[in-house]
Amino acid sequence: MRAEHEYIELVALTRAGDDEAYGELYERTVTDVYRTVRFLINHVSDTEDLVQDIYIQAYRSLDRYDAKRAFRPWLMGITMRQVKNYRRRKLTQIRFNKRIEKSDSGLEVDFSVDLISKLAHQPLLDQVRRLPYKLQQVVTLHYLNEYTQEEIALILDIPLGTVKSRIHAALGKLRQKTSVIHSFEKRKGGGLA
Amino acid sequence: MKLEDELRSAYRQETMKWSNSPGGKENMLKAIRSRSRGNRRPRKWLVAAIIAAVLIIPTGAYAGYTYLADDIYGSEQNIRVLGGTADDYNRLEAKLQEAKAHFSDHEFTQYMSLLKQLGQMALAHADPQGELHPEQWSTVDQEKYNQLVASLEPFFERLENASEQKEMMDREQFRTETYKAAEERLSKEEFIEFQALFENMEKYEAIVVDKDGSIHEEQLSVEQKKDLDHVREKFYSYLRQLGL
Repeated sequence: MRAEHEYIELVALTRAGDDEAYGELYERTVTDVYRTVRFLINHVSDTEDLVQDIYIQAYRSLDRYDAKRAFRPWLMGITMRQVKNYRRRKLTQIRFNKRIEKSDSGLEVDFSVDLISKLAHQPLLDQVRRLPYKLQQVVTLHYLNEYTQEEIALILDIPLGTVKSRIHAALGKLRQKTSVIHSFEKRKGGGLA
Repeated sequence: MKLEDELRSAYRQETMKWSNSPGGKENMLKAIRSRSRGNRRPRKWLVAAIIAAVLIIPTGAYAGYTYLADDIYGSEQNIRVLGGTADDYNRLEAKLQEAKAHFSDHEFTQYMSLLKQLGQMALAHADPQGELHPEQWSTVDQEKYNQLVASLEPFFERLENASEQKEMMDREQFRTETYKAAEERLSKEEFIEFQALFENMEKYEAIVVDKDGSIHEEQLSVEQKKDLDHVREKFYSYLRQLGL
């Protein structure tokens, strides 16, 4: 509760023209934003730029921020919209847009990330990445960021029931997939345990 | 371990060492400061709006869009004075048409009325190149300008979103145009190969792109990936040949 009060104070200072206050808001929130974005877009070098865009966008939207709402979910809502725009841009590239020549990164999954995640041996997160984006999104908000289902509904501007059913569907799919992997590893006689 | 706990700990392990670069905050603040001082990167719609507004006012008539369109073409002289080219005007015409199609009548009237106010400011303050330097104005004017820009912002945003969506719809058209160019410039055999490559690319796209737009190249087998690289390379070299 106290932290929330401090956020609101920093917002008020920023609105009054104190840039340093906004810098403080940035420092308190950037790690969460960065990790979420990086996981969802799975591209290291674009993450940095996108995070900067998110904070610039949030700064410009600050006038519309309602101090009765919690700050972090509000910021995460902006983050999700920017990620959506990014994905849309990428998709336009993959769809043979005329700019195709400039980069074919639309199809190229960032190789280094792929490699690192393999080295880190995170098959579970690989499974998460294979879920439809809408499911990945709620799972990440819930288990990486620890947002409550109510907060996720606000962030994504969707009904609470939809959040619940998406989490439920995602866990169901993950259970199916991981049980296949586990039984495979047992048969190999190795595995994690 | 329960799946939910496993997820939490997997996320924690994976992202533990991820953090934004130390210079991130300063860069972000720099970007914000330069924007609020008024020399922010001009947005394409804002620029169009200012040219539009500057043009509208000298005619003294603000009857509505039809009049403006007629007028634009009759006033190339004005264009040059303000450092614009005929191309700028064609673009502006297209943008206004787009806006008119996109907004309701009521919204369009509102949009044009805001542009008019912006135009009055532009007339009073623009330098010979037609550029605005709000940071040099009085605080009253600056405030008025910021308010205008802020009320125009939602309109611009909607227009930009609309054109983004349109880009995605343009795919069919892209295919038709590309085929046409390819047919003209390539030999018959090459054209046939090009068509096959195009279809191949679409086939792979259908596999790797989900309904919701996420890309999953890992769904391809090793052979398919190899084949895709091969197809892609050839396809791009054709596109380059076609100047696309």
